[in-house]
This record gives sequence, C-alpha cells and structure tokens, in this order.
Amino acid sequence: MVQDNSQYQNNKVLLYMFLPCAVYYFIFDYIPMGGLMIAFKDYSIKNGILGSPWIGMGHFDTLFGGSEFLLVIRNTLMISIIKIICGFFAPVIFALLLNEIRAGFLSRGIQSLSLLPYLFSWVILASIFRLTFSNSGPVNELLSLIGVDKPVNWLSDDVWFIFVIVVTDIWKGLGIGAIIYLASIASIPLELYKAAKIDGANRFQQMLFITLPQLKPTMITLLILSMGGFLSAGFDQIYNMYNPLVYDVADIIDTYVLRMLTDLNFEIATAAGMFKSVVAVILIMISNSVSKWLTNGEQGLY
Amino acid sequence: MIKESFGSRLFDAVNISLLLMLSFTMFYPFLYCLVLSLSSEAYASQGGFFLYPRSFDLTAYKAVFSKPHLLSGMMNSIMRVLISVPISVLLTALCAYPLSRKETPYRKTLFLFVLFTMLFSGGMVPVYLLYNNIGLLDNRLVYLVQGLIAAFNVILVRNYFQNIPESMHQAAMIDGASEWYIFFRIYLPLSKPILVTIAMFQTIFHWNAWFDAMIYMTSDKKVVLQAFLQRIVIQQEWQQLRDIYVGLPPESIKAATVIITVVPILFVFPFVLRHFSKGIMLGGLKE
Amino acid sequence: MRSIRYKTTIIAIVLILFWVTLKFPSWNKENIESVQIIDWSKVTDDPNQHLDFELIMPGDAIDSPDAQLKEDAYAKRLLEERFNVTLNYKMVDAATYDRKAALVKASGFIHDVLIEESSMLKSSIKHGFIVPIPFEVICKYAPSYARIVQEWGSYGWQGSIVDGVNYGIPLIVSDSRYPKVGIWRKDWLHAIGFDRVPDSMEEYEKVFELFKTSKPDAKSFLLAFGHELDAEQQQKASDEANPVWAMSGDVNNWRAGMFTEIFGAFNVQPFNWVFRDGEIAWGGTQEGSRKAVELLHSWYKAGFIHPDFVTDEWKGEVLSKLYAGVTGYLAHWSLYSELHPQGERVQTMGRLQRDRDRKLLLTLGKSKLEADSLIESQSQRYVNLWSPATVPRGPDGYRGHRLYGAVGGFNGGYYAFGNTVIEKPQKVLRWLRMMETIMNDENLLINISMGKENLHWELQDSELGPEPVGKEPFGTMSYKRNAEGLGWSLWHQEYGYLVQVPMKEYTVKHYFPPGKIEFRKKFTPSEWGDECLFGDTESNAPNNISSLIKRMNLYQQTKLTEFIVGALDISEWSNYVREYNMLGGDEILIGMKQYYKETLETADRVNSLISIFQPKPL
Repeated sequence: MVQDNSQYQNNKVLLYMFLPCAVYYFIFDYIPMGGLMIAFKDYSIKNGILGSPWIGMGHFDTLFGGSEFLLVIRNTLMISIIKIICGFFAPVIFALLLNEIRAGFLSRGIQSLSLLPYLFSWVILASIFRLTFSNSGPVNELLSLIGVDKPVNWLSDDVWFIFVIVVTDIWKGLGIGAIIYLASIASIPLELYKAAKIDGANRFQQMLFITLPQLKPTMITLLILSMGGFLSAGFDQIYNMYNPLVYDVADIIDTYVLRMLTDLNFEIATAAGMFKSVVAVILIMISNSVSKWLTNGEQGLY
Repeated sequence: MIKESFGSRLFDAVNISLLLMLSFTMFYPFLYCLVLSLSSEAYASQGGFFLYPRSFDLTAYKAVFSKPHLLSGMMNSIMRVLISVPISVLLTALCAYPLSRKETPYRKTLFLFVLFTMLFSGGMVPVYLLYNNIGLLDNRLVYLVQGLIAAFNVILVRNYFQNIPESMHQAAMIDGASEWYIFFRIYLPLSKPILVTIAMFQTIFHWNAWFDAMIYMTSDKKVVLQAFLQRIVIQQEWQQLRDIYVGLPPESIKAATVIITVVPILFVFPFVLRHFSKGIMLGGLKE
Repeated sequence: MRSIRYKTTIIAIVLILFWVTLKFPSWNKENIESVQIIDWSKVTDDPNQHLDFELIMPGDAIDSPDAQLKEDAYAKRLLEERFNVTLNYKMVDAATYDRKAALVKASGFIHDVLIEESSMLKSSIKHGFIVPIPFEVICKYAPSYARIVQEWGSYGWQGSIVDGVNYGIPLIVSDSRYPKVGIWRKDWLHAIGFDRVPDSMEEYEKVFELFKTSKPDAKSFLLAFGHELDAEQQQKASDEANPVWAMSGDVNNWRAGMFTEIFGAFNVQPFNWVFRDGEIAWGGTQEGSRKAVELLHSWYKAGFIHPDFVTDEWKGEVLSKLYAGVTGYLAHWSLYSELHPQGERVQTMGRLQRDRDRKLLLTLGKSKLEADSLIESQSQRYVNLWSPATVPRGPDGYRGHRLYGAVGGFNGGYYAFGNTVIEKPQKVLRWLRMMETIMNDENLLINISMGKENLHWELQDSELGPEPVGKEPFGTMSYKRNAEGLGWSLWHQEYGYLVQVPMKEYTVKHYFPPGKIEFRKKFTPSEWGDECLFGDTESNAPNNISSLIKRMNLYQQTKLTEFIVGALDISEWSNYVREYNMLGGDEILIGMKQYYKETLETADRVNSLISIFQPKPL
C-alpha cells in the first residue's frame, strides 16, 4: 500500500513536469485551432471572432469556385511531387557514394562541405542564387563557354524556374540527409559484408543487398514525415526566389495565404490554411497506414 | 592486399571526381558572392564567372553598414538565439521526460497531444490574432515563443531517454531520489549529445528565421538580421543610396549584405560538424 | 471503460478552457453597427481647442537615420503653431507601405489620419477601421481643394466610395500630370554623328542600330582623348571596348511605364483605359499594342534591348547600366531635378565616367600623372553627359507617355480618418480646414514645402534665370530637408509634404526655376501624356473586380514580356487577346463600364456641391 502511494506521488510529479509543456501547446497550438471558425464567418476586426456572423461554407465556395486557388493548388502539388520524385533518392545515393570512399579525410571533407548549405536560410541562398543564375552570372557564363550562346532565363522562365527550385532544394538538403543515412549505415555489422564477400558479391551487389535494405526504415520514416510538408512545397524557398513573371507556376498555397493575410482578407487566408492542414493530416494518416500495410505492420510513424 | 578489379577502381575515380565537383558547387556560390562584394563598379556590371576577386574594394561593405537596422538586426538575432535556445532545450527535455517514463499516467494521450501539434495547426491567421490579444505583436518576446517546444525535438529526446538503461533510474529511486532530481542530476547530464543536437537545430532555426519578424514586428528596430537581409535583397526595399554611395552597383551591395549575414554562421560551422552526426545517430530515427 | 471515461473528461476540460479563452476581448465583441454615423451637423471645430493628431503616411528616405522626421521639424512646428495642433507622424517606407500599414491596423493601432490606397480603403472599411466622410463635409470645409480634384481628376472621387458611402479624400500629386523624361548619353549621340536628340521612331531605330554597331562608348572616349594617343593605343581602345546595348528595362515596372513611349507612339497605352468610339476600351488588347510589341520584339532580336531587362530593377541595375556605359538610353526616368547639371545623378554620372576613363588611360599605357592631367584638360566632358529625351513621334504622328494619374492614383491614394476620430470628430474638420488654408496661403505652402527662404533655400542667378537653390547643409535634395518635414527634393515639391495639398499654377511659375518651366514645355508637356480614364485601375478600382484586375495585369505583363523575348510568336497575338478576354478581360470590361457610369455621376454630384459652397473660385 505504501509503495503504491509513493508510486502514485511520483507519477503525479511526472504529470507536473509535463505541465508547462501542456500549457504552451494549449495556448499556442490548440487555441489557434479554435480560431479556424473564422473560415466560416464573415469576420471583421471590429466585430471580433464571436461577434462576426456565420456564413457557412461561403468562403470555401469562393476559394474553389474561382480559378486562382485551383491554380495555386495545382502549382503546389506539381512542385511537391517533382521535389519528392527527384529529391527522395538523392541523399540516399549521396550517402551510398560517400560511403564507398575509403580515404577517410576525403569523405569527411566532402561531407562537411555538403553540410554548409543546410546552415543557411533561404533568404541567403535565394539572394546568392539570384546573383549566380542571373543573365550575366557565372552559370550562364559557364554555359556560354560550352557553346550555348543565348543566356538562359533561369529565374524568369516558367520551366527553368521549377528546375532551379527543385535542384537547389535537393542541393540544400543533401548534406543533412546524408548524415541521417550515414548514421544508419554506420550501424551495419561488418560481418554481413565479410560474409557477402566470401559468397562472391562485388561492391555493387553489397551496396544493393546489404546497405540499401538497412536504410529502408529510415527512408520510410522520412517519407512519411515529408507528407506533412507536402502542401507546403517549400514556402521559404519559393517566396524568396519567385518574381511576378513566374507567378503562374510558382504561386503556392502559402504565398497565396500570405497575400490574403496582408490584404487583411482573413477569412480566405484561414480557409486556405485550414484546407492545407486537413489534407496534410489525411496524407500522413494514409501514408502511415500504407507503410504499415506494406511492411506487415512493422514500419510506421506511430 | 586484395586485388581490385579495374571496374572497381574506375568506379572509385569517377565517384570521387563527381563528389568533388559536387562539393565545389556547395561552396562556389558563397565564393562568388564574396568576389562580387569586393568588386568595384566596372566589373560587377559585367558579370561572369569569377574564381577570385579582381579588386579589393570595401565600399560596398561601408554602404551596407551605413544602413540603419543592420546592427540592431544583428543584436536582435544574437539575443534571440542566446535566450531562446537554452530555454527551448530545457523545456523540450522536460516535456520528453514524462513521455519516456512508462509509469506516467495517460502517457499515450499525452504523446498524441504532442504529436498532433506537429500535424495540424490553426494556421497563420488565428495565431496572429492570438498574439494580438496576448500583446506579443511588435514585442521581442514573440521570438521566444516560436518553436519553443517542437514536437520533432521532443520525439528525438524521448527516444534518447528511452535508451538510457533503466537500472540508473531504479538505483536512484531506491536511494530515495525524486523524479525532479533524477531528471536534473542524472538524465540531463547523460543526454548531452542529443541536447546539443537539439540546441543545434534550434540555433539554426532561430538564426535563420525571418518570416516571424516580417509579420509580427511593425517596428524596424526589432527585426532580426535575416529579415533585414530579406528586405534589402529580395524585396529590394532599399531606397537608392544617396550621397557617397550613389553609383555603387546594386549587385555589390546585395552581395556584401549576404556575406555579412553569412560570416557568423561560418564561425559556428565546425562546432556543428562535430556534434551533428553523433546526435542524430543517438537520437535514433531507427525505431 | 476507463478509456471512454477519461476521453470524455479530457474533451470536457478542453471545451471549458476554450470557452474561457473565447472571452478574450477581441475574440468576443458586441456587434458594432456596421456604419458608424457621425452627425456632422452637430460637429463644430473651435480653433482655440488644441487637438492631437496621430498620422501615418509613406515617407521619403525612410531607411536613413539622417532623414527621420525631427521632433521640432521646421514644417511641423509651423503647422502646429498655426493651427493649434500636435502632429505625430509615423512614416513608413513607401515600397512596403500597404503591407506594413495593414499590419499596424490589424494589430490594433488606428491612426487619426491615414493615407490609404483605394484597395486598402476597402479592407479598412470592412474591418471598421475608418469612418465615412460625406462629400458635403469635404466641399464645405475644403472647396478649393475639391475644385482642383474636379479639374485634374474627377474620376478620383469614386475610388473611396463603398456601398454609396464615401470614406476618403483623394490625394493630388501635381507632377503626375506631366510625362517623365528619358535620358540619352549626349556624348554617344555626338560620337555617332547626331547633334540633337532623336525625335521620331525611325530616328530612334537608327540611333539604336548605330549604338549597337559603331562602338559609341569607345568613339566618345577617342574623340576626347584620341589626339593624345598613338594609332596602336587608339586601335586597342576600340578593340577592347565592351559591348553596349541601347537600353534595359524592368518588367515589374510595366504598369508604371516600361516602354511607355513606344506604345504611346502607336497611340495606345497597354495599361490604360481609354474612351474610343463612345465606349471605354482597354489599351492592352488594342491593335496599337500589337504593333508596339512587334517592334519591341524586333529590337530585342537585333540586340538593342539588354536581355537582363527581364530581371533588372528600375532604380538598381537599370540605372547602374546607364552609369556604367552599358546602355545609352533610359526611358521614362524622372524629372527636371534629376537632369539638372547640378543634380546629384548627373554629377554621379560624371564622376563614374571620369573613373572609367582614367582606368582606360592607365590600361593603354599612360602614367598616372599623364592620365590625371588629361582628364583635367577634358573636364568639360564630365559636366553633363546626359541629354533629356523627348517623347518620340510614331509613324502616324502620335506621341504618348503614360501618366500616373494626378488624383488618387498610383503615387497618391486617399486621406482617410480612423475610427479614433469618433470621439473628436472636429479633428476631421480641423484637418480639412488645414488643407484648405494651406492651399490658399502661398507663403505658408512655400514654407512647408520648399522651406524658409535664406535658411533652407535661396534665389540664385543662374544661366537659366533666377532659381531657388538649396542652401547647405540642406542641399537641393537631401536627407536634412526630410528631417525638417520638407520632403526630399527642393525642385520636386509642388505640393506640401506633411500635409499634401497642391501648389497653384502661378505659385509654381513664380517660385520654381524658369529652367524647369522651359524644360517642361519642351520635353514633358502634358499634351504628350496619356492619362487613363480612371487614373490607375489597380489603385482606383471597383471592389468586386480589383483582385481580378491585379491578376490580369500580371498576366498581361508576363505575356507582353514573352512576346518581346520571342518566347511567344507575334502571330499568336489574336489568340492571346482571346485568352485574355476569356480569363478575365470580358468580366473586367463589364465591371469597368458600370464603374465609369458611377464615376461620372459622382463627379456631377460633387460639382453641384462645390458650386453650393464656393460659387466662385478664390
């Protein structure tokens, strides 16, 4: 009995420890969820949230009825999908290749350098890219040396802009992604490799059949996590790199919401943001279930 | 020595050269900016592929430093990191600890409570209105609140705590220690690697944050360095510099602003390298 | 069992906490009457009552500490003493004014007097930030001001009306009634054999061609220094000359006036509404636009337009290319003050050219001493390398240049009054009286726009006749003028800075340099200006289609750029017009027709009100 009580006392203490965190989440994460009502009201600051009249799904009608939001969704999906398809394997491949280098100082050096872009914000990187991809910048200069005579409008042409966005995004994430995978690779027992070599496997086969499968769990976890950011499509990057000439492919949900916010069009901004959150949750739940189903219940986020 | 096949050696050669070229692209853009910022006017307007500065002209830097709010921006950024990061790390660990103990009542619910915030949010507008009510608008405290207890970090720390041998906890309990004591005197010191990793993540987040300053601050002097950079280079919010700086090519000024913002991070870089890989491995994404 | 019970308790706790927090003041308000009515008939303004004003407006040179408005700024003090007020200004950088001002309002701080663009007005009305102000009140207390609005842009009244109620006073930007002037490199023109500025489109093309092919930069250098160089050095100077283009541009500036004089030469402005054949029509889809775009495309292909024009920024790279000798023509740039030999930009051009010439001389083998003395001997060259451009004459004799719209429009906006004036509505009357008084008191207006004679400026005899010249340390254009509340440029201020009222014509003629008047007649007469029927439709548009208009303008901007660079072939023009109309052009047209009708009706109404309150102009 006495044991039980002190156990319970200890357990209550644990709850108290959690309290500050709970308060923080409640105030700054859960209360704003209540503010989502704005999406269903004719909100004006003078009336406040509760004082504003309800108008039901009106704002969602405006959103999905006009062509602007649909275009914005299309752009978001397009950019996200391209990023995932092109970018998902890049850090894995990079990690595998890096792993193959036997000179320790070389691989560490390259790995260190590859971390550099991760440290910088997109504000800095976008500023740099605006200079490097400009018409008279080094990239076009290099191209002219190879023989391409007309400079490419990297940042003002619809297609090239997406190309630059995807490539620079992969470039930025290579280093940090590789670290995560290299950590997994480092925990592979060496006996597996020895055994494979005895069985006559060459380097590529070792890479494919030993190293790669070890990375599968991490890859799946990261993939599921990235579903949460699916509809964000990298707002930070795009906002800092886009310009009016590429709006029709670069305007994504978050830039749209920002525009609505600065026009003080709160209802549309909230409705669009809500749409985004709801879809994100659904996507994560689906991908989690799919992954559980594919790996027989072993691998999932939760 | 095991003989290597030709194919294997060829692969090595190609691999290394590819990766070296890749690393070159990792740092060339910064080099280009450095070169651009040191150029005098004629060269900057001509553009091109530079490998080294052709002149050493600090006028662009003088021009940038003459702008108000650069120094205040730097101060704000430094204060923001120095204050927010330790508090954030502490609170994250404090949150993760109960979640890592099996005997915490309602553990699963609490975990879901935390996890849900990572998936769903009210969005920009309700948060803005909330800050308005609490008086966080145009108030530097809003910086502290951003990402204070990130669910992702909590999960990392929780995993790490779970990997600490249970025997330590039991031994302490037998000695009569309270959970607080165990937390502060045993778990925290043992968790240095993961805590440093979290600190790293938070530092980078806070140093690079600009959007919150843009939306929540109406006074220019409370804005952080990245927001300042954003206004100068991206939004081109700068009036034409007058007096002695007229005639400086805008590319040089933009490049100089970038370099000034980049330098502090480079100081932190070696430190980051040492701790990152260790931390992520131990925090474990392999559940 | 257990799990259901604690799930319900948790939900209950959450709901209770939500209910508590929803009691937050701004989340829970009483429903305010949608339109706050002030009974103006009961409001009087006693001049002996001291009033405090909080004002917010876009300011000059915000980013410089030297330019911040001082507490005891000269113009501010004058106004405060004269009208028994205290004025607290919040100046915000003009480039991001809409965003910043919106956030300031949303965060709860409402100023008494605000400057708002038409679209900002609409959102302020919705959230209850500003109060209505009937035309009767405006015309009663500021009839002279209203009269000028009628004369210079009666379309402006409509932009502040929502649901039949008026909420603002249109601002007047006097010099927006005149075109801006372009710049030619005078020495390049001379070097290719032109002794005057090209005036017709054929001449423009000829000059651009010569710029491209005959190395005008090198030639100009050789004309000045060739006699001191041997044949080999001369050859080298010519061979190593960098390539030049005629001009660059800024596509984000399309609406404001990129290539505007080219379009004008075909009697069209792509972003203007005009009245044609009894109907209103959109310039961008007219045949004239197609012709202009076709011409611009041929110029781009021929290498006259610098490819960077897609990304260059107007006040940044475009100007620096002119400074650096990369381009030789810059259209639609600025005003008399920018082209005056003593103006800052002209002097900068001279200084930079001096540096470039010196470097070239050193490269060619001259010693430092020689180079310096050569430069000195040719000092006349650097006094003024620029020539103002005219507005070119098109093949059918048209000349045109987009005007920003003197009222309400692009550079201006509206004065609006925050809901804080409900407690003291006499503030509105006081402000109107201030505007009216200043407008009719020449001495006061001069003092708050140019400054005090012999302190901030003085009359000097120059070869252009007596002109006011900024007295040091105030200068003609300086931060210090800003700090004293006088606005940045002495020659530019045809209106008050802290209280924006226009100067009368005769004041301008009397106080501004005769050189400026001459200049205006010769290079930027208002007859050459193409005014939009509505001033500027992004700034002055009906609420329900204003975001569609913004989007379609962006669309047009992108497509025109694509036509010019050749990404879209000019033969696709009619398809483009069809797309444009389908995507939004038709809808906008219907809306603007209606808007036009309303604009005319409002103008009539104000007209009759003015004749009631001020039968004869002062």
